[in-house]
Formats: sequence, structure tokens, C-alpha cells
Amino acid sequence: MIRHCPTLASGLALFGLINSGVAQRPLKMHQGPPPTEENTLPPIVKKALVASRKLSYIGTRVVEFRREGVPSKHEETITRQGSHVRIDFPDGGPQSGQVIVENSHERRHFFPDKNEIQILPPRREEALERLARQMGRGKRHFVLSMAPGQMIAGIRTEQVVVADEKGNVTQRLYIDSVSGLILKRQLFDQVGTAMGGFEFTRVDLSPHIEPSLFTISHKGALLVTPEELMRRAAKKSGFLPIALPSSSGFHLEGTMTRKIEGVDVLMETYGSKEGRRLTLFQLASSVSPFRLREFAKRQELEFVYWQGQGKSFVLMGGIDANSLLQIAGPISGGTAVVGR
Amino acid sequence: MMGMTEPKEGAEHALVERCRRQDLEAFGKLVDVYQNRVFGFVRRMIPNPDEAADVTQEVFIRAWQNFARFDGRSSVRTWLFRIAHNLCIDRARRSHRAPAEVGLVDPNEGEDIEISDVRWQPDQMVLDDELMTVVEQAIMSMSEKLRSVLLLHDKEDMAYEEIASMLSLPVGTVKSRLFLARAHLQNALRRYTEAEA
Amino acid sequence: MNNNDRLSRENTVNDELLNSAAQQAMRDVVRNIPDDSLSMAWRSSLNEKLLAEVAVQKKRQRFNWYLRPALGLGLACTLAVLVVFRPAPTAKRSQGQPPVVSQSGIEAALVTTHRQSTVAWDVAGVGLNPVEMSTDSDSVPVRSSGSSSGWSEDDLESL
Repeated sequence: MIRHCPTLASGLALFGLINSGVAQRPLKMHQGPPPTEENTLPPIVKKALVASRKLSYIGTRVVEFRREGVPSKHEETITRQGSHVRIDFPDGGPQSGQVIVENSHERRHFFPDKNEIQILPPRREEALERLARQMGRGKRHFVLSMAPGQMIAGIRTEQVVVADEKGNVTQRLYIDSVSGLILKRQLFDQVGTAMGGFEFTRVDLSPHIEPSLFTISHKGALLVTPEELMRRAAKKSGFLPIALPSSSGFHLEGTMTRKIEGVDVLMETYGSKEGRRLTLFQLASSVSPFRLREFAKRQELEFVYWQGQGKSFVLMGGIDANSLLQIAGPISGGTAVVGR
Repeated sequence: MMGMTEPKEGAEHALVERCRRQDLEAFGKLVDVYQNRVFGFVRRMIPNPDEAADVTQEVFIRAWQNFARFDGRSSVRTWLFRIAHNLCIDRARRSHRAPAEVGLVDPNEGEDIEISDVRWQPDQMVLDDELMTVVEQAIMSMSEKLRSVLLLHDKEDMAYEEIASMLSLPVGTVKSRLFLARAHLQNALRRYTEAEA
Repeated sequence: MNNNDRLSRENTVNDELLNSAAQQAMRDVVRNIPDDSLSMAWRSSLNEKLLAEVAVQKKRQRFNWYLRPALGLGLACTLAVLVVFRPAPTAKRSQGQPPVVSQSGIEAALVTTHRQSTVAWDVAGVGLNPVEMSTDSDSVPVRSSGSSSGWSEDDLESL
């Protein structure tokens, strides 16, 4: 409608400018200093943000998300002391013997069967920080509502429900009101289908933690980087070993080969320090940019597209198309186009 | 996450009204309630599981496309299962599928009926995996006419009149098909238990 | 068999027969068949198709909105239709370009894949993420030396 009604479009744009600058609706509590990202959040969420950076605990949680389109569930034990993290896995499970340790600079993941340590960028519990940033920017309007939550891991929680401007619930967080630890989290899509989440089954908030726990040392273990893993995956499957330049501000976090709708795809996932995510798809066949545009638009995603050396490339993410073009420029030879 | 219970009448009415106004979120809730049940029906009408999953999707897509025309004279459940049944019949006709019948023949075909010994009744049947297989095979081996009535009445708890309306049949025909379907199942289970003994 | 005969045959199956112990036992058997469940992948695929339907319906509505007052706008409406409904550009096969394969679901699947990946990373937080899970299943023979980076644990300090 907006495309075909300039007057309405102008009116709406003006309304949007006024609205975004004035209030972080519906949290109308700005008296005093100008709103920063954290000032706009309810106390329990602020507490959870602080806890995500500083808390010490040992806890076991069950995590569920979709992997290759199929729901996947696993259990992990997290030992955390501020920015130091260690992840262990149950004996006898698929990840038995693997260990992940992380500090503010680096993440290392040990695979005993390969005697290999993968060196990766550090991960963070970005969820709340991203939410805080989005609210602070006023780009998206969220409705936060609070209610008493259920008992989780023997701890009474406060429930925070995050809904979009249409009232669709996008997340539920169950937070320990004393420590600020998020004990349970659920994410939902536009039609209310659960997309993933986690739930702690036991937690020790006053643990004794040996500093040596955050060290892994295995003689003779091979150290590999994400770029090496990408080259390995690409070579194995007949794809081109192409990655986004580090100057893009996005670091390669992982590479997978998959069959999507019968088509072989190399999928590289990237993250930035601000928590933005991009995916670079490399396909052995063409895709229709027109059709891709229709689907991407529904999810508020942008993409750029190019072809070369017998492959198609799609770089997709939630950032603006011009930025995507700039990022793709060096590896597309300037041939990338915005999806239309 | 899935397998929600049927909403109460008032709540369903509100959902239906929202669906008529093309409210996708409301339709999603309806899908939550009925998807597994519709699939359970479809996959026993269409043996191929991939095809059954596709047809189940088609049921909901058709429902979404035609919701404005849903007049509320039947329940949403009946309407969805009618769509499902029609799609299954279409698919069966296209693939010329005609499941083998074992022992029993639809009386409307005008042949003799072989009924299992009415004195035979199992005490308690615990549905373990093996028995489940026998039950599923028995259901799949009966004709579509018998199978659909059995599933709609005994699995979905639909009333005779509801099924009759849905399948455009007299109530008497629904009852006779149900009787034959159960007798067919009874035969299969009797043979199984006798073989086990 | 005439219609009267058929009707009377049908009516012989009355409620008493249907309520017999054996018949009710079979009813219980069928009732106790475990419920089926569909995967999240199925649901995700359905959601995408429904969203595509919404897009089609909106286009239709827009199309009708312009067509009604279109008495003198024949050419403009035709152009509008062509602009709105233009076919997707198909790449002519030339050297270095991948084959054009008709994959009706690939575009939707790519978007879904990116979305699921983003959510999974979000959910995983500091924990095991989907790529680390996939790497886990990609067994590569252990080599004690000679990686392209030349690194081994002996050369570098651990954390």
C-alpha cells in the first residue's frame, strides 16, 4: 500500500520519526537522564544482563533447537565464573568426552575422537544484550510483561514475556529474581511455533570453582581454526573455499554442508561483536532472487546474490542491503546484487 | 510444544472468527490443535508417510484458502476431516490404490459377510509394539470405506450423524461400516492371539 | 438387491450390536492407538507455505483494487500486472554459471535455514551450538602433525 500512496507513506514516516524519538513505548518511564539501552529495561531484565556478565554458577541445562530442520536436544553442564566458561557433556552421550572452555578472547572446543581442538571466537549470552540494543535504538517496539514464573531447578522464577508490536509472543524468560540467572528460555516464531529454548535442571549458585577447570591441555592435539574447517568442508564437498573478509566485522563461526530441498549447499555462519548474524550459502544450482525476495521479506531479512565459477552465492542476514553489498564486494568481484 | 487439547466451544468460536478474517496467528493455533489428529487419519488412509505428510499440509493450506467460506454449520473438526478425507480419496483414485481386503466384504457390494465369532472377546489388550503392528496392519488391510468410518468414530470420537454428514451417507450405512470394520479388526486380533497361544 | 433390501440390511446393524462387548473392545483398541506427531520441520514448512499464501492473497487484493477503477487505464493496468507478476529472471546458462534447476522450495528453505540457525545460535549462547554439533559428526582421521596451519598443542600455551 505504501508504495502506491505517497501521501500516506510520508505521513507514516513522519509519525514513525516522532514516535521513535520520544518514547520507548510501551515502557513510558523516561524522566531524568536520556534513555540508554539498559535504562529502558525492567529491573529483573537489567539484573539478568548483569548476571550474564558476572555471575558464577555450575548448572546443568537441556537445550533444544532445530538443527538441519529437525529438532535437536542435548544436555550440557556449564561452569561459569564471570567471563570464564567451561562446558561438559554427559558420559555416554553423543558429545561424551568433549570439553569447551572460553574466556573473553577465545573459545576452545576439544574433540577426543579426533584429538583436535577447534579455536573459535568467544560466544556470549547475547540474547538479552541484543534485546536491550534493539529497544535502545527504538527500531523495534517490544512489549515486555512480567508475571510470577514457575519453579525451575528448585528456584522460584519471575517470568518475562517479550511480544512484538502485534502482540505475538516472541520469547519467554524465566529468571531467578535473586541471582538474575535465566533458568529457562523459549523462543517462538510469528505463528507461535516454539523454535527452541533451554531449561536448567539443576543449579549451584555458590559453587567452589577451581581455576584450572578453565584450562584444557591435550598433548599432540591438533589446533584448527574455523577457516581451516571451512576449507576442509569445501574441499570435501566440491565447493569453493570462500569466506567473508575479516574487515567486514563478521567472524566465521562455523561451516556445514547440507542438502536443502535436494540441493547441495555449503553454509557458513558468521557473527559480529554486536551479535548480528549472517549466513553465506554456496549452492550448486541457481536460485530465483525474485522468489527469495518474497520469503526473505517476510522474515525482515536482506540478501545479496551472485554467481561465479559454477556456483551461486547468497549472503543473507538482518542488516541493510548496502552493508551486505559492501561485505560481499571483495569476494564477489563486485558482481553481487541486492535481492529484488 | 504440540498436541494441544481442543479449545472449549466459546474459545473455538472466537478462533474461527479470527480465522475467517485471515488472522494467521489464530489459524496457527487451530493447526496446533488438529495437526497431529489430521495426520493420524491421513497416514492411515495414505500408507506412504511422505505423501501423508504432504497431504496433511495440503489440508491446512486448503482450509486457510477457504476459511472465508466456512459457514459454521459443522464444527471445524468435521470440516477439516472432510477436507482430509476428500484429499485422501483423490490421491487414492489418482494412484488407483485398492487395498486388499481380508475376509470381509462391504455389504453394499452385495456379497456375503463373514463375521468373527461374537463370543470371542479379548480380556484386556495391552497395546505393545507387536500388537500395535497387528492393529495397524488390520486397519490398513480393510477398504477405505470401512477404515475411514472406523478412524472417525473410534479414534476421533465423532458421532454417527457427524460422520454421515461428512461422508454424505445415511446413518445406517455409517453404523454398518463401523460394525464391519471392527469385526475385521477383531478377526485379525483373534488370529494373532491364537497364533501366540 | 433393490434399495429396500439394502436399507433393511443396513438397519440390521443396530446399536445393540455395536455396543456388544467385542465391538466395544475393538473400539477401545482403536481409541488407544498412540497419537501421531509431526516434526517441527513439517510445521516450519507449513508455516512457510501459509506465509506464501498470505503474500499471494495480498497481491490478489492489490490487483483487484487497481482493476476496478481501471476504465481508461487499460495499458497502465497491464503494465502494473506485468510489473507485479513478472516471471523470475532465469539465468541463461553460460560458462561459469550453475545449472538452472527448478527447485520450488529452495528459496523458502534457505530463508528458513538462516532463521533457524540464528535462533539456534541465540538459544545456544555459550553452550554447544549447531555447528559444533555438526563438526562433531564429521569424523576426520586424527593427524598428529602436518596441518596446514602447522599448529599443535605443544607449540602454543593453553588457555
